[in-house]
Amino acid sequence: MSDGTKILVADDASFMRTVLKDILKSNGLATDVIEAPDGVEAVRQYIAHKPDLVTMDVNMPKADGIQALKGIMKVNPNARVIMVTSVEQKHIVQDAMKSGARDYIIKPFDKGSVGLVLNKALRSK
Amino acid sequence: MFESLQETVLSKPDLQRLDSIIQGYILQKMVPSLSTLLGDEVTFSTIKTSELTFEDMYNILPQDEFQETDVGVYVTCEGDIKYGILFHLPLSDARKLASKLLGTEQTETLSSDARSAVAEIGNILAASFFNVVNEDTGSEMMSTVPGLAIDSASTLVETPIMETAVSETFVHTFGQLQCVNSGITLSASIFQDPIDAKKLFR
Repeated sequence: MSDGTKILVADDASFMRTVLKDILKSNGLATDVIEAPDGVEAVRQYIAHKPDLVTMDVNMPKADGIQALKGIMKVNPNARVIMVTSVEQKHIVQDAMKSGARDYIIKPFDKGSVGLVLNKALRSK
Repeated sequence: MFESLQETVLSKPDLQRLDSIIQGYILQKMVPSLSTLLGDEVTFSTIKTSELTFEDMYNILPQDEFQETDVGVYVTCEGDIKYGILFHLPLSDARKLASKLLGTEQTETLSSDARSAVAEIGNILAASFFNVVNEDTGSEMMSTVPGLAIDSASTLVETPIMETAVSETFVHTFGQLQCVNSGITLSASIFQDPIDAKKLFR
């Protein structure tokens, strides 16, 4: 799965980016991991690298994850974006799913279940 | 102004009720979240809810709580109910916490990665609290990006109080989360306006 697979990790917390990168590498899901510390940079990096999958934190500075998701979907309506949120509120999750997110992960998460969600998204069309 | 003040003052039974509600919220998700994050058994103790004036601002934390420089992570929640949550711990415990999260040796100072890890813990714990409030009351809320500061305890409490209180008084709930194996103690100060506090009485 990881041969040539590019994944963009968008999270303002460098700690969470490191945790997600470790999960991606230990599960053999990505060969190339790109990082973005805010929503504006996430859209910029998506356009520059066209990754196979994006993990998008909801709560970020400059532009939040929902705004960045919408920006990416404008560029590529088939983009695979997984939302990562610690705020498990229905209206936020519904907004993300309506805007084109494939799935979502609630923090704190265990590495195994995150690997499954990301693997499933990478296999989907 | 006097009428407004009378309207917002909570009675002793109100404060006891609030104490019990907030304790339930903390036990329901905040404790399990911290336990998952650290892979440690976590217990919760020492809850006290008070309605205070701004003059009490610098005396709200137990005097023996902080013997050294403290690390505070502050998250606010905006929406139907407004909250400010300050997680605070001694620098030595913050270093221990970061080391555990990052899987690295403890360092004398908090590196940027260590600061990020401690801030993210505060972010996740605050969100777990807001999630329970949302489920219980149906209120829609959105938390802010967490801020981390290293300062004296009295300075750390200033911002949450000033940002949360809109009337003459504010409600402060103090509690402690204790990690059994690592010995880390994380204190939580939850600030809200008395009017918002009443929204939990349903």
